[in-house]
Order: sequence, then structure tokens, then C-alpha cells
Amino acid sequence: MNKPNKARHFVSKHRIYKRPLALIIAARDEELVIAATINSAINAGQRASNIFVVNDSSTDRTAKIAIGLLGESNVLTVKSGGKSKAIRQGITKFEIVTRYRWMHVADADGTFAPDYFMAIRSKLSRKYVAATGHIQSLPGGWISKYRVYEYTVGIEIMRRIQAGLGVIPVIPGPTSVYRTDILDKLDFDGGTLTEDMDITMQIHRLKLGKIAFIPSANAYTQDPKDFNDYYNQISRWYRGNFQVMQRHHIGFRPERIDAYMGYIMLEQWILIVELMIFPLMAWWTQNYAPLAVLFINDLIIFMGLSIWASVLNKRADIMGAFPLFYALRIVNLAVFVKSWYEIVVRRKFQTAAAGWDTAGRRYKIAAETVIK
Amino acid sequence: MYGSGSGLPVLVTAVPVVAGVTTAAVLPQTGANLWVEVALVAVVTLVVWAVMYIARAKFTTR
Repeated sequence: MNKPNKARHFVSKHRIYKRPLALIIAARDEELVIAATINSAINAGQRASNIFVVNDSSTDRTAKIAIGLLGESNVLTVKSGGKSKAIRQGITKFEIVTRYRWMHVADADGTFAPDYFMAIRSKLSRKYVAATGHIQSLPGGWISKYRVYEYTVGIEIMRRIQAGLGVIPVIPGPTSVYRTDILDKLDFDGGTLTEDMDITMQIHRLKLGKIAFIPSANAYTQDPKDFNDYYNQISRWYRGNFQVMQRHHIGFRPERIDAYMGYIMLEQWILIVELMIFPLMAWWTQNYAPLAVLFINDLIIFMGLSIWASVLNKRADIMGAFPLFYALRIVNLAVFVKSWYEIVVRRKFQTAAAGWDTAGRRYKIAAETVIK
Repeated sequence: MYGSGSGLPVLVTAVPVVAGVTTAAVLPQTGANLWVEVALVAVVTLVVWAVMYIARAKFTTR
């Protein structure tokens, strides 16, 4: 059995001194990306001795690659049990709570900007219990171009508003940081398909404290390669979203997070009703002008935001795929309704199978891809 | 290399524009509402743009 790194913390007369930040990466069959992720973390200012990998019974070279980069003492292989269980086992095995003040959980396909960990560490303070950085999409196909748009609008506008109001609904997988003294209060295996949102809602419901948004900390993530991957991913996200809302009775308490999530749901349903009602009304009355006005307004706003995302990311290619964004917006709404029907009406997927949704989704990446 | 250094990027931009302009030229003869005309021009341009984008992706990744 491997002993954890010894020079980890020391006890003065009155206090236990802990290291500032541990990075824990749970991985299953990630040989294509794990080396780039670890190297990227090291290049981004995290020492190898503070990086830990929990290998969830990979059948490929994941563990071997991780051991080669971090040493045996920082890699734990566990029996297959899903990401949440792997993280929990990693926290225990590597004594994260006693050795560190903060724990960063990252996905095995993530990479980090060169100053990422410096930006994260500089903003962490006792007034927060968790933190999240800025997610960006790694360059890829047309779906990743749509994701650039989504992340830009979602992070640059919505996340700032959410942080200001104290209603961040999800600390996303690629960039999630927790103060270690709250870890024993959190249930990492809540039986939902979106454990990151589940944990965030626990922080809100248990009133554990504030969540910091650190926009200067840029983490990069892989997006689905093709439409099928995209469809499966958003199906899992929406199903998980409804599962978490049911689990925590979101919308039924006089709290800010309930009001905010209620607003988000209402916005989606209004859009869906508009999309169905306006064409029907136009057809019924044979007056297509209101539908045309609605579409033109939507087009102007949508195109304006897409141009803004394109300029902000200095990527003209994003605008090239603009017409396909419309198709993905419609797909998103359809999957939203389908997931609502499955989870809320049919009560399917009541307990999520512990597992991974990353099989076959990865492509090889190089850490230098993201250095700007 | 077809598509990367050839005239295809020009086509991807030009064809949707031509389709939109043609639609704009034809529509007034139908007597449609101005908003409906603008919306139809936008729809035609977007659809042709999407088709050209997909076609280009197919050619360049072949």
C-alpha cells in the first residue's frame, strides 16, 4: 500500500498548517487525455505533489501514464463505482481534508490556462466555501463553436449575474473548488446524473456559504465530437437538472436559488410555448407578420450575441457556423421537454447508474493548444 | 486540399448572399408584408448558408 506524501502538513503549538490546494482528478479509460491534463495543471502552477489521480478501474494505460507523471503515491486505483465514489475514495485515501485547505476537482479531459492556479489561489478566502472559474471550449468542430457561444454568454453575462445575486446553480466539473472543511457535509453520491449541480444545490440548501466566481481562471474542456455525442450529453444534463431540482425541492422554498431556478424554467417554457403558439396562430389567422417580427427580433439578438462571442474569443470561425446554432437551439428545447417528461412526469431515471458518460467521447489533445 | 486554398470559401459566402438577394428581388411581386419578406430573406439565406457550411465541411475533411 502506498503511503501519502509525508511532507504534507505540520503542527505548530496551536495550529495545524495545511497546504493551500489539492487537485484531484477522477479518471476512467482516459489514456488519450490524462497526460495533457496533468501536464497542463503542472504548467498552470500546480505542483505535481499536490495532484492526485483516482483511476476507476481503467482498462487502458490511464494509471500507468498518471504514475509516470505523478508517482505511485499520488495515484489510487479503485474498483469501478463511478466518478462520485472515486472522488470520495480519493479524498479519504489522500487525506485531503487534513492536509489541504481547498480541494479542486477536475475532469480528466480538462486543460488549464498557464496562470490558472495562481488566479484560483489568489481569490480563495475564508468568506467562500466553494469557487468556480471560467470554462472555455477547446477548438473543435461546429458543435464546439456553438459551445463557445454558449459558454461566452453563459459565463460572461449569466455567471456574473448569478455570482452577484448568490445563485450560482452549478459549479461545473472542469473547474470546481471546495473548502475542505465542508466536504464531510456534502453527499458526493446523491444518485443524480449531474453530481456537480447536486453538490452545488447542497451548498445552497445547507446554507454552507458563498460561492466565488473567478473569471480570470480559465479552464478548457472538450466538447462532443458529433451530434450523437452532443445529444447524449445534453440529455444527461437536462435529466440531471430535473433530478436535482426534484431531490432538493427547488422552487418550493422562499429562497433566492428557488426564485432564480424558477425564472430559468419559466424562460424555457415561455420560449417553447412561443415556438408552438406563434406558428399556429399565424396559420390560423393567415397573418404571418407577428411571427416574422418575432423571428427578426430573435435573429438580431442571437446574431449580435454570436458576433460578440466571436470577437471576444478572437475566433471568426464561430460566426461561420452561425446557421447551425439555430438547429442546436431547437434541439436543446426538444431535449429539455423530453427530459422533463421522462423525469417529472414518467419518473424515470430515479437513481442514476454509477458510471461515466465519457466512453468513446475523447480525442487526443495537446496542452499547448490552449496557451494563448 | 480541395476547399482550403480553392474558391470554396468564397462560394460559402457568396451563394447564401446571392440566394438572399434573389429572394429579396422576387418577393415584392408576391405582395407579402414587409416583415414577412425580411423574415423569408433571412430564412433562405440562413438555410443556404447552413447547406454550404455542411458541404464545405464534407469536402475539406475528405
